[in-house]
Amino acid sequence: MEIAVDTTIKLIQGLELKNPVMNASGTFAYGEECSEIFDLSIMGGIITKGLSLLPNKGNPPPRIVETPCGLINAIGLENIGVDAFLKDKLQFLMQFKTPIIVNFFGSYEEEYVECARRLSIEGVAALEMNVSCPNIKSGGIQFGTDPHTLYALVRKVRDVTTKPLIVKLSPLAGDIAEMAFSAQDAGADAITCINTIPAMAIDEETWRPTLGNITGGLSGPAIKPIALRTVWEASHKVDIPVIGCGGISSSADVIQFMLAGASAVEIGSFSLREPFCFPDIINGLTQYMGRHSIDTIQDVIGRLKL
Amino acid sequence: MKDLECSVIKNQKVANNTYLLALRCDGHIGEYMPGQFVMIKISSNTHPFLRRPFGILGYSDGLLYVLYKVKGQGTYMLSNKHPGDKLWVLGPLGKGFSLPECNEEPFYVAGGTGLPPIFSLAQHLKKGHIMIGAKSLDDLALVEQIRNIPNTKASFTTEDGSFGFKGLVTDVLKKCVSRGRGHVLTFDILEHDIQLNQMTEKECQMLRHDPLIIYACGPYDMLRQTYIIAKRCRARCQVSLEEHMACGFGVCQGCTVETRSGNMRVCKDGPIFDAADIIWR
Repeated sequence: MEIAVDTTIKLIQGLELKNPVMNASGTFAYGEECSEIFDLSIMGGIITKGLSLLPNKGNPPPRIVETPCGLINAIGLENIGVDAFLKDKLQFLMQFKTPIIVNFFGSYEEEYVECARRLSIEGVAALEMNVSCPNIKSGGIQFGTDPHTLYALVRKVRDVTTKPLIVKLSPLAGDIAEMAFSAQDAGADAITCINTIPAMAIDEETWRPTLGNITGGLSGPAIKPIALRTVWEASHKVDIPVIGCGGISSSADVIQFMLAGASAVEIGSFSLREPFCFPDIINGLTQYMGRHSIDTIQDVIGRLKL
Repeated sequence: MKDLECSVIKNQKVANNTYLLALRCDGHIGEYMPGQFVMIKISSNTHPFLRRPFGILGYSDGLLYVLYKVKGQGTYMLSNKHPGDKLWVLGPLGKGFSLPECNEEPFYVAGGTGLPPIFSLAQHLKKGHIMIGAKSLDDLALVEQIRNIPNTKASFTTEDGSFGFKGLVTDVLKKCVSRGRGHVLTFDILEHDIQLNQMTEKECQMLRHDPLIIYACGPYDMLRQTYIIAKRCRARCQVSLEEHMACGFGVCQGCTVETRSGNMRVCKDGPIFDAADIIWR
């Protein structure tokens, strides 16, 4: 039986999601592989692999190591670059009836600005700025740990694009609420909490680091409680929507993040294990709403009872 | 690609730390090419978190066969599964071997845990010469089944000499490519013939005129050595690569390998590659 509930999220002016469930950048490539698995039109939004101005080769192997309830990755933001994306991938993604959110990053301010400028074209519904990747030597995370640096960077990007601008924050920030506030102040339309947590694994037999890059970013259910806390803290500080990300693996997790204050969520690591999880989790949300007599899912956001 | 619930039918130790797993799949896994693999979810909870990749040893009558070595926690947990236990299988994944062209004679080289795709291919082609290497007799699995592959010669190599030829499997390959068709060394001769020739390319050309294709799966050094031998003999060479993997279907870019045409994903663009395309470390 079809349950008549409203899962729509009006995330930002001009960016409406048919449900709050999106993928996390870097676990979905550019959508082609997953389109062979399920109909991508069911997604609340599709977030691309993080793009840089020029193609990026990424880190040496091994790039992946499993940890209890999660994994550490050190892919190093391998990507085809903004221009190749616009030429070869965007058209394909546009066939699916869901917003395409393009994730991008830079090693220096001008690169962020130029990426944002080039990506501000028809077919791109919003931009997600990665200021928090632990896997590249220069750039990335240093922008996401100091509120003043972040403010200056977001301001510059804001100046060149009218697209909805989402800033993806690092859990490393001393005070994530402060970072969220800086992003909002500089003109961000939403923030994502959180990127992976810098981490490491060592092989005691060889005395060597397990990852080619020595360190990487921890993700998966292991980090869910941390992500949930950051969503809670950030959403109380800012008026713009917060997107929750970190270890989400069920519709129950989605509801928890929304109660904490998330307007939408991103699912990453879990979909590497369960490629069919998106339809399951989206259906699970509808069923949850039916069970709890919730007509519109927007009514769940930030409604944690204290 | 499907995600099928499967029941363990058999999970039997067949060599040192090595198990033969037979799974009855709830549904048809679909056509597969030798060289393709599956990702197996070992637990319904999140430990271990990721699926594990395994080359397909065989699939017939709804039964999927996997041969694996216990290397870490995931495979240790797998080795403790009993008949009736549930597992979830995603596959078939990746690209398989490309088959020999016209009169190419296949040579197969497998070392360590590299047996499954090679065994599966030899079973499919039913011709050529299969060479298997292991550290010791205790590490050799499925010896009888390998010998019983129709119309295919089998040679075994152990590093300690406890079974077959003493040395490395690539030593045997080197020796075998030096003989023309019909002069391939038999298992019996190899057991006693441990003198190796350091072959030059010229010698190789003189001795061998038949086109050859060499398929290999095993440790990195073995693959590289196989490729060097293949190159000297102007034989085509396809290798099955291994890399740490998270998704198995091409989205995470965790398992890339450097090739002459840039980074390739072992899980999606491979695991089978033309050895000549790989930038060998």
